[in-house]
Amino acid sequence: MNATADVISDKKSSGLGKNPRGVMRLFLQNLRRDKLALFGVAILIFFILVGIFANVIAPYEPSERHYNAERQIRRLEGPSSEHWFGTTDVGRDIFSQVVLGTRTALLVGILAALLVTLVGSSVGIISGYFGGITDSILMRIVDFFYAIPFIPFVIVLSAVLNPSIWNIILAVSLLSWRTVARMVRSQVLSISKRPFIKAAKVSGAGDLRIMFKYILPNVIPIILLEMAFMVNWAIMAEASVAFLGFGDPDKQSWGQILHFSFVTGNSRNAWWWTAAPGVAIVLLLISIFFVARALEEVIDPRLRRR
Amino acid sequence: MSLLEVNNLSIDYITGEGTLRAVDDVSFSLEQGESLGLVGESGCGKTTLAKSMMRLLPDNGFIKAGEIIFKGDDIVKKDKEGIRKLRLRDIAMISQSAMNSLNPVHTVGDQLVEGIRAHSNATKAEARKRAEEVFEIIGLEAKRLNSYPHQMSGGMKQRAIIAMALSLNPSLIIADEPTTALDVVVQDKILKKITEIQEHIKSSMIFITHDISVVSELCESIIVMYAGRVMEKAKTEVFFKTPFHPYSLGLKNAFPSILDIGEELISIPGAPPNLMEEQVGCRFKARCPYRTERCQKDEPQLKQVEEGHFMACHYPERIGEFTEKASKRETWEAVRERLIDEGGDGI
Amino acid sequence: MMNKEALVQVKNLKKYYQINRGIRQLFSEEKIYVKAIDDISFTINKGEILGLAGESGSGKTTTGEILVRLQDVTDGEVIFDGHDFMYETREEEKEFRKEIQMVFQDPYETLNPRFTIFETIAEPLKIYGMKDKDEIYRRVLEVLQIAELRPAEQYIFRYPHELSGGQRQRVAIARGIVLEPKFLVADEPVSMLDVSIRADILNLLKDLRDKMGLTMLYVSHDLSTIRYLCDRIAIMYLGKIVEIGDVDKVISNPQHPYTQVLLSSVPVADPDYRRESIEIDDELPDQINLPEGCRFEPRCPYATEECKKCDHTLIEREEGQWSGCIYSAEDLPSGK
Repeated sequence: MNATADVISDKKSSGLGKNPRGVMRLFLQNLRRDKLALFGVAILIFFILVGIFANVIAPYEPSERHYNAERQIRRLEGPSSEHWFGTTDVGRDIFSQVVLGTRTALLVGILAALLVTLVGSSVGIISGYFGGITDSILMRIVDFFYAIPFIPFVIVLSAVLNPSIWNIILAVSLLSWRTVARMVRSQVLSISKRPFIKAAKVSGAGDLRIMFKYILPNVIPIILLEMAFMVNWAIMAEASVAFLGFGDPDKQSWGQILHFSFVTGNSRNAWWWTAAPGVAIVLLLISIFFVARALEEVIDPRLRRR
Repeated sequence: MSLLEVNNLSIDYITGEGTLRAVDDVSFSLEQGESLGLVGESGCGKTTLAKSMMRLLPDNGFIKAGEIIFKGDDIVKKDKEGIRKLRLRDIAMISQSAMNSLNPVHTVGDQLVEGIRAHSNATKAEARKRAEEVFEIIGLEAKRLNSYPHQMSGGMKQRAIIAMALSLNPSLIIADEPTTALDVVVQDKILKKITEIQEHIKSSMIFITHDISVVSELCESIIVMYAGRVMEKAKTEVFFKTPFHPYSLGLKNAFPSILDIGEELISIPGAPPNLMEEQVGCRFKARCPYRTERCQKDEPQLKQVEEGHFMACHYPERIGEFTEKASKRETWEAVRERLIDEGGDGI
Repeated sequence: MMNKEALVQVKNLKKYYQINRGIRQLFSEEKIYVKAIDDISFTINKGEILGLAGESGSGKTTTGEILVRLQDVTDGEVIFDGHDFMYETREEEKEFRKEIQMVFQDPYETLNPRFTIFETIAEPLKIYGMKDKDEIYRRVLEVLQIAELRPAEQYIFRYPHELSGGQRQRVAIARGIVLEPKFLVADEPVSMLDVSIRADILNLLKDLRDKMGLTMLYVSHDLSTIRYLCDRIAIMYLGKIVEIGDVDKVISNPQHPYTQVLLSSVPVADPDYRRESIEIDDELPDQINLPEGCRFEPRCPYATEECKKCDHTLIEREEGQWSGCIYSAEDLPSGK
């Protein structure tokens, strides 16, 4: 009796492995060829580890003032064995700040991207699948959000609420789900015209079933891709906002480090103060970009190299 | 001397999964003014063959061996400039999707004039005059030259493309499924026009299609391709009365006709071989009801069986027997059972 | 014909699409429509295969899609098995949906690329509440065998891209019959397949009718396959049925001039056969501004002034053969 059922699940799993559309499998295959993507993955893993173990890795409290043997504040000291990335104008350890800033960057990046893709793809799928009035209304809302400029919006938001990374995540999400919604919608529009969706309707499948079982699996690749780009965009947004001084005062952030180096007038004379967070931002963004690009190549057959 | 002579032509595609031999050791010749139908299933290499004659193969397609002698010169050996000169002026191609190749931001007339001038040294006025002439010949009003592609129907666009292809009186027309996207009434009229013009300008034509009834009406001779090779070549009227090759016999059974009533249609079970793999023996062996040991090992060569009637099968002496058995359903059902027994896809 | 029981009755069916002409439309009361189907009526009897022929834009595919309820109706009635489509509750709708299935044109696109063959065919069963895994498995194997995919076990866990076109179309047919419908709409099921295997699919459809009594609407532009498969044929032109009748009668003795033109355009694989040639303009009229009276009148070689008053009422010209032309085939006027 159960034998057939066993056979089904057994064969099914082996069959799934053979599905060449498996994005992850193709992606991993591509890594062997695409050295830049491999580099991206390596750097990204490095940053994620740093982010997770930031407390352990950071040698000092980021706001602790350090004194030298003469009990003087170690003002603007260059990199040394004690302070790898040097110190700030008030003798704080930049290395610790950068390490803890990694956590903030990743937190903002990942949370915002998750929120954005969740909202954006739901709106995109509903809009693209139902079309008509639903589509028109949702797309007008999207248009509305396109009209809001980002930086002023965040400044007003932090003035009204209070500056915290949660508000930054909120602001980033509020203003970027629109892009995902548009991308997903256009994809859904073309998928829902494909005959297998018609066939599902004729088989009696309801709207929810079609959206989740038929459309969603076919747009997941593009959602993944959008998510990778959104992580980048959110990290960049957080850094810019913090650089302008509207960041969360309780959280270390790369943008904030740059902010202080700039407002104290030391951005020119203490190169290490700007270099460390600057390089960190660039490296993280580049690594995610390379990963996303490799993902895109797997997803979009036109980019696939033979 | 023949206008076109294709000798032992082989074409490979290099793909991510390996090499695919799309055309394998194909030879034929075409006389001045002759029209030749090239038929076969999808993937049999007919379009690849046509493209190679214009040297329009995609980047991963390579002519591996053989020659294509056109007016005494080998097309395979020509350089880019030589090919450019050849296209349109000597060889014109009308393809299936050609009507989408019109540029939407220019009028059809401008594109036509442009094409004529690029391949000849006509002045603008001469080219324009020629454009009007060919439009008339193809059955379009001259004022249509001022239309943009989106203002024309599919049939008109295809006509415009044909006008463009024929504007310089090419000596060879290659028509690759030129009307498959069109409705039957329009298709019929355009096909008539193409043959009319072909006869008028005395050019030769290679007509590629999967629809053998079109070939029966348009072409003087026919080549049946299967899995990259020529299976049979004959004069059209001979072929449609007495096809020789088992594959052709099978095709004849499978083809519904508007005239026949009650005759049962029979498919050829199975599918063409995977050309990514190396082929041993006859290409049709898996689906052939008369297969023997010899067919498994030896590849049959194209041989003349009767005057002007060629076939690639080891058993020309058994044609009578083959023909008789081929009309019976059991013959082909046995192939299906055999395919299933062999664990292949029998359907 | 009279004593046969009707399964599908279509009465005065209309399907209009509103054309969106941009911002001007906002300020104008006048609405512009494309009349994809304009007042057609026909009946399909139990166990019968009706062929629906016509060129692109004739409304044949729309008619098929309305019957499987992929599209709404603008006006008119569809009575299925004595039950009116329009006036039904949700449960009734689901129940009746089960009875009408469809096979589509493109076997490459009609199957979800992410489903195995098993999942594809099991899907309708699951939607209609079958839960027992063994039962589902048995049923899927059973329909695969009916669709002549043998041995079924060999195909069941493959993905669509691992099958040939013909095999995919068999899977699509298996999915179409797994719920044991009474009525199947087949929209150009063989036009994308290679000639050498088309006959298999046509014979399979024939068998489904002969052995399971399945009633069918076969939508196709290919008159040869319609002649092979169907009992009756309806010819559509620009949203109207211009001729309907027994397939042999219509093809051997077409009454409507359009049917004659269509038939004379089909190439024949017989070098000795000379087709009759009818000269007509090959451009269809604008679908928005349709001609008054007979829609074929502007292209018709026999048209007279009278034709401008024609309302496409079908007249029985031979027994079981109805034409929408005001003239019979024998006394077609010499025309313009």
